[in-house]
Parts: sequence; C-alpha cells; structure tokens
Amino acid sequence: MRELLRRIAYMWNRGRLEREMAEEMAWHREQMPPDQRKHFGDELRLREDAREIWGWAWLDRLRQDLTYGARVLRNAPAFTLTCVLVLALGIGVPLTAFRAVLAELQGDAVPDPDSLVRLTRRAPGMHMTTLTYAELDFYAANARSFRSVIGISQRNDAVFSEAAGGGDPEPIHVAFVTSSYFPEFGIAPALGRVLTAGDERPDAEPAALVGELFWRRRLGGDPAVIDRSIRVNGKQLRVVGVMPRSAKTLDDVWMPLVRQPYVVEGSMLLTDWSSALDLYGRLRPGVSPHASQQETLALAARLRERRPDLVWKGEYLEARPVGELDINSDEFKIVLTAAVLVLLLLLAASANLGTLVLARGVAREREIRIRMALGASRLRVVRQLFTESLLLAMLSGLCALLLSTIVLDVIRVQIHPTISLVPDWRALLATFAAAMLAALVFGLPPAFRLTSLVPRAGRARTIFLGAQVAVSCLLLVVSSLLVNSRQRLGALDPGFDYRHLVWVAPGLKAHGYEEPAAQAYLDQLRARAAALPDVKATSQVWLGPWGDLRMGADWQGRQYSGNHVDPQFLDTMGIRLVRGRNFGPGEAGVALVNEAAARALWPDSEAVGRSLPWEPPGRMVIGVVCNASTAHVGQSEPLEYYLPPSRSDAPESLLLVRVSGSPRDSVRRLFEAARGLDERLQPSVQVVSDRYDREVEKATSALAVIAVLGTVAVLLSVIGLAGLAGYTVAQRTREIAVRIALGARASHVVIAILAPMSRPIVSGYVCGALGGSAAAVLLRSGIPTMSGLNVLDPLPYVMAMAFFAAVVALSILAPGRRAIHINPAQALQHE
Amino acid sequence: MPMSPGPESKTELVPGTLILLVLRVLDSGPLHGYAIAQRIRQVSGEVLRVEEGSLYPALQKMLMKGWVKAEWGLSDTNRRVRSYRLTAAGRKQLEAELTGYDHMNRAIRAVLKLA
Repeated sequence: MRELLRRIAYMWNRGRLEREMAEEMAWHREQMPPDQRKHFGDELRLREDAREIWGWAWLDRLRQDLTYGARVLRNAPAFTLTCVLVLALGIGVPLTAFRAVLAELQGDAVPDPDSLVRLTRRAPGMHMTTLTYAELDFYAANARSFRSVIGISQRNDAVFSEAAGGGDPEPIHVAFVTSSYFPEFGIAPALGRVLTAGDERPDAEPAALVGELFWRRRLGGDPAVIDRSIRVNGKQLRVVGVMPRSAKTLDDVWMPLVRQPYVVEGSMLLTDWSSALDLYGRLRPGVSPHASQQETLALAARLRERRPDLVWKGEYLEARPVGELDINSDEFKIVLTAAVLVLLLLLAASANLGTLVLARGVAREREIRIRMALGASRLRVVRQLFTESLLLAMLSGLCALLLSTIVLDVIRVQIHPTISLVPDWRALLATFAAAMLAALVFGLPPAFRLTSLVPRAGRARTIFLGAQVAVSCLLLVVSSLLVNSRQRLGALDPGFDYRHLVWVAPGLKAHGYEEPAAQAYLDQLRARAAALPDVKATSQVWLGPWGDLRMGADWQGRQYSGNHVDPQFLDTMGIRLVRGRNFGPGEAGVALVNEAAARALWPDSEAVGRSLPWEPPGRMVIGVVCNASTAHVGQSEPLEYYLPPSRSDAPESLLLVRVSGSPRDSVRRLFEAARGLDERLQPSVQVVSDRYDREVEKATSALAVIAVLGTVAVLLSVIGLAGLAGYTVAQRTREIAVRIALGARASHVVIAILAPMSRPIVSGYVCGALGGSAAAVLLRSGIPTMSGLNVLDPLPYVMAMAFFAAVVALSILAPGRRAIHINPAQALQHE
Repeated sequence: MPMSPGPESKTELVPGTLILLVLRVLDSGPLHGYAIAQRIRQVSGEVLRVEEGSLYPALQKMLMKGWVKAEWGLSDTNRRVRSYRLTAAGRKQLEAELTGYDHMNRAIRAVLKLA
C-alpha cells in the first residue's frame, strides 16, 4: 500500500526524479578514473531501467500509442467515421435498453431485500397471490417469524376533486397500504412525511400522500400542498406528504389501508373475507423464509378451524425474498431473450468492425512490416494496434451514451415518465464494459492476424463475416415472424362482435353489497340500460371479455378459460350456437363449451352429454358454441367453457351491453344509469374494443423494438459487406484486371468478388434462421397476443432471405461497379 | 524499444545479489552512490565487478520498496550529492536476504561436494 502511494507520488514528480538521477550519475562518472569510465554502463539504458522500476514505462508507451493512434484515426476520417457510426449503434441500442430496464427496476432499491418476502397462499395443488384483510390481521398478530406484515392494495379506481369543489372530478388510482410499508420498502417522502402508525388510529384525521407525478401534473408541483385538503370520492383528506416517483409507485394518492372504508362507502374490506391484498413480510433476524413457512403452516391450520370454507387444507404462506429473481417467469424469459438479442447486435457491430479493421489493416501491412523490421516486438505492435481499437471503441462509447440519452428522451413518455436522463455510474460502467468488449472482439484478432508472419490465413475474416450475417439474419427472421403474426392478429376474428360491446362494472362488492341486494341492483340496472336508445342486448356476466380477471382450469397441460354467464350471453356477444342448446333461465349444473375445447377434450366423440372433467361430477355439457376468444386477445384456438351464474356471483358481476352505434356514445349514459341507482358507487364502464386496441398496440410496440433492432443490424450488414467487398476489389485489382484483359465478362468479375463471401453468408444465414425461430418461440411464450405465431411457416424465412439477398446486392453495388470498370492497362501498369 | 540486458552485459554478479550487497554495505552507515560502488569493489578485492551505473536503478528500486532513504548533502568538493541510509525495513530485508543467501550457498556447496 505504501509502495503504491510512493509510486503515485513518483508519477507526479517524474521530471524532478529523472533530473536528480542524471545529476547523481554524472557526478559518479566524474569521480571515476577516466580509464574506468567505460565500466559505468550505458546511461541512456540505465535511465530507462530506472523508469521501468518507477513503473512509468507503460504510461509512456500508452501515451505514445494514444498519440499515434489518434493521428492514424485523424488521417483516415472516412474509416473513423464509419467505425464510430457502426459501433455507436452497436453499443447505443443495448445501452438504451439497459438504461430503460434499469429505470424500470429503480423502485426495487429495498433495504435488505433478502429478509423482505412476498407472501402468497400455497397448498398442495393450489396457489393464490392475494390475501384478505382478515388474514393480514391474523398473521400480523400471530406470526412470530415476521417483524412486520405489510399489506398493499394498489391501483384502486377513485375520483379526485379539489377540496373547494372547483374543476372537473378526475378518475385516479389510489393505493391503500399499511404504514409499515414505508420503512420496510425504504421509501422516504419527496416532501413532507410518509404515513405512520399514528395515521392508522381510528381518531386520527384522514391523511394521504400524493404521488409525485400526480402532484406535478394536477397540483402544479406546489410545495404548499402539504396540509392542504383534497377530496377522494368526495371525502376530505389532508395531504401530509409527496410520494417520490419510481417505476413501482404509479398510484396518484396513497392512504392508510384502514381508511379504505372511509373513501369507499359501505366497504367491508376490514371485516369480510373478500379483499385482495398483496402481502409482504419482514423476517426477524435469523429467521429463514423456510422457517416462516413452517410457522404459517401451523397458523393456517388454526385459521382453518375458523373458516374451513376459505382456508385450504395444508395451506401455508409461501415466502419468496423480493430480491430473488423468478427465472421461470415469462417476464424474465422475455427480458432475457431481449437482452440476448440486443447483445447480439453489439456482437454484430463488433464483427462488422472487425472486417473493416482487417480490411484497412491489410493496406497498412507495409507500415507494420517496417515497424517490426526496425525491431518492434510483435507484442509491441499488437499493443499499438489494440490501443487504436480501444480509442475507437471509447469514442464510439461516448457517442453511444449520447445516442441513448437522445433516444430515452424521445421515448420516455411512453415507457417511463420518471426516467432520469443523466447517466448514472451503472450506465457509465456498462458503456465502458461494452466498449471494452467490442474492442476485444474487433481489435485483438485483427491485430494478431496482421502481425502474424504466416501470410493470410483469412479465418478471422470468415468468422467475422459469418457472425455478422448470422446476427442480422436472426433479427430479420424474428422481425419477419413477428410481422407475420401481427398481420394475422389484425386479420384474426375474435369470434364475437367486439366492436359494439361495453361493460359496466358497478363495483358492488367493494361497497358492501350482499347477494340479494346486488342481484336486485343488477336487475334494475339492466332494465334501465335496456331502455336506453341504442342498446340492443344485455347480459349479466361474472368476468368482462378481455378483462384483467380470469377464471380457468388447467387440464392435461392445456389452459381452459371459463366464465359465469347468463342465457343472454350468446346473443349479446354474437356467438353462434353450433350444436345442442343454450342455458335456460335459472338452470344449474350444466355447461357450454366452444368447438376448440370440445375437440381438445373429446377428440373422437360428441361433446354434448359429457361432463367437464375438472368440475364436480354431473356438470353436463348441453351445447357447443362457435370459437370465440373472450379471455385472451388474439388466440386462434381459444379453449373456453361457460357456466351458468351461481347465486353468490352477483356482488362481483357486471353488465355486458351490446349497442348499435359507437360504444363510446353509450359510456356516459351507462355510467349515469349505474350511478343513478346508488350515488355511493364508482362504476367503471369499459369499451371492449379499447382492450383489443391496447393489446394490438402492445404487440405492435414489441414488434417496433425488434424491427428497430433488425433495421440497425441490416444497416450494419450493408456497411460491413460493402467494406469487405471494397477491400476484396482493392486487394485483387490486378487479378481482376488480368481476368478482364483475358476476356472475363462483368458477371465473372462479380462472381469473383462474391465467391469468398458466399460460404460465411450461407452458414451465417442458417445459424441466424435457427436462432431466430428459437427466439421467436421464447417471445411467443411471453406475449399472449403472439400466440398465433407459427415458427414453421416458411414465408417469414423466405422473406428474410430475399431481403437479405437484396441487402447483399446493394452492398456490393459500388465495389462491384468499380471492379467491372477496372481498366486493365492502367491497373497492371500501376506497380 | 527498451532492450533487456542480454547475457553479454558486464554484470558478473549473480542476479539479485547487487541489492544484497548494497544493503550490506549501507548497514555500516549512510553512503552516496559512488562510495557504495567503491566500497563493494574494495571489500570484494575487486573480484566482483559491478557495472557501476546499474547501481542507480537498483537504488531506485530500494527507495521504492522503502528499504533506504535518500538525503541530499554536499560533497567535499561542494557538489550536491545524494546519500542513502538503510531504514528499519531495509535492515529486515537485509536479514531476510542473508538467510536466503546462506541457504542457497549451503545447498550449492552440498551439491558441489557430492558431484
């Protein structure tokens, strides 16, 4: 350590030290008898030895190399510019993705993430991600494994208005949390204070936090907001602080969980067993997640004595640390696939640059040979060439950083409004690492290759070219597959009349409606809706088409989606009955299946008259209907079944309405009808086609990202292939001239240029196509809308190949013309 | 291009012993560079011919390691000279190197006797 400090100190004083040593040595020589002076040794070399000892030699060489490298790059502006452009794209795109993902994860900066666990209900064969308030209460009071249990209910619909009542009421999202949420998740207020246990006392004044974005957008970012009153669902709340923005905290208003009934009138959340909360627990020091599961297994058994109908046999709370990655989740798979794709782009850019550097290096062969002939060791020249590549890579890294910042600025509204544009240390580190990696890939092999005394083996070039063709083709095939499935999605008939459907979710359960009252309310609403001018049909259903909630069964590896619907459902949705009959009013113990499900369940026999295998016995199929994809958007073979409504459904049911005109015109009228029956409700009216459009948009934006990657890769290929072809032409000018002189035609000349490229292009294409279909399979498993994607469809591959052939043709256009127009007389005279 | 000293260089010392010699010479008191060289020559009876200049890189290495400290003073002829003094770390190093040298010496002698 001391030595290191001394070394650094020496670095500062190098000038003085050198002078001092020279003085000392001069004196020594003067002292020596003149005839012995030759024994002193070569002073110049001795000084160099000393410098080596001081540890500056590398610095000197680096400075030399950098100066030399900079001069070389400056003298070849076209080459430098091309390289920087290629690599800035190659680094910039992954970097942008990395920074976007980083921003997405920023909300996860939880203190001690290993002891903070997500709690979900598990029992043999059962899993549920949410718990009720009663369970939260029970485990918080009894589980000794946890220091605290945190309950969260996010994105609840509510209506916001100013305390004075001015301005239009605005729909917002409210989060209800226990006060332990803030310290355990490490959240500090952006302004004011967070919610505390004091705010949860029944006699405390109702307090709220406002989200930073909402505060800026709606409340003008005024610091005086603290202590001001706002209204949520018409109820007065005092603002005590501003919730800092992050990817995970997108709600507009934050309130104590125990205050939920205050703003949602009639809510039974705190007393009944119906709420759906996300639960987290902070483990006590020394308690493992596994130990906590042992304890909750015993506790759940106690709870089951109280509610045997709701608590499963063998239930326990699965505890998964929040910092732990779920590598089996679809989300993780998508992120991984995307990461591999963007990193492949970096590889393509590097390989590309490798060909360029090689091509240029050959032109510098003379210079390199002269340097080596003058006594430079091979290592020294490699170091020199690599420094040049490093300089180039760092320059590109800077441009990439700039590029990613610009792109993030453009797209930040869509992905993430809170993203910070100033690159943090992780982004800088990633840039540096990517540049370094690229320099290793594109700089080192050519450097060794060019200093090798064995004349051109040419393998490096073939590998570079093959790699870049493979990556470009892979991205082309993936985008082409996605375009194909996107087109199919556009053409896909969901099987029902989704353009004229609206549903009204009155949210009866949240407001404490019990079964008979809820049914009465729905009957009244139905009558009112039917009386509206353009309403054609109405139906009471449990789950809205393409809604966020789904019910289903997993049978023999296939997912079947289900719903509880009344007899008017088929008519309202526009789904045709194929065989058998519809439900009768009030009929129970029966079921309808669609054709796809019938085929999957009973491939060889008639479905009508059979029982659904996963339901209690005796649930008879009485009819088969046309295929309609009502649970997921864009499934070509939806497996669905429909059951008649059960009596307990009513508080959670909604009204599905088919209208004759544009559904948007009816939204307001239906909202007022629902509100008119009970002023306390906050009904939500959804236009079904909006869901469809949103899904299509999601698929389109995934496609757009891949398309950008594909375009960049193809652009890189054009540059790389053109560079390679140009190099081939330059290198073989004399040979081509001889051929032309001997009567070769234009086509022969072009073939001569293409010949060395053909093998890597073909093998690259094959690898790319295989990799592309694998990536597409992974993407398909993650994006439900892409489920129609068919990897075996030859069309996308042919399209990609045709496109790539066009790219090859385009890139050798200029060099090829140059080759054809070689004047043999001139070219052969040249040397 | 820095050239490493080849086999034809004038150092007739076992590599690494130069530092040991310098340490040993400095053990009896601070000296300047020329005096160190002279001393080694005298004591060794002119057998060990140091390429005298190589003393200076060696001294720089010892400075860097913290085995010696340097001080500027005036010579008899009123010229600025730098004298080197052994530090505590240097003394320790000397002991360590002496033991190492002894071991080696004994080993070599044993081999020579046997052969």
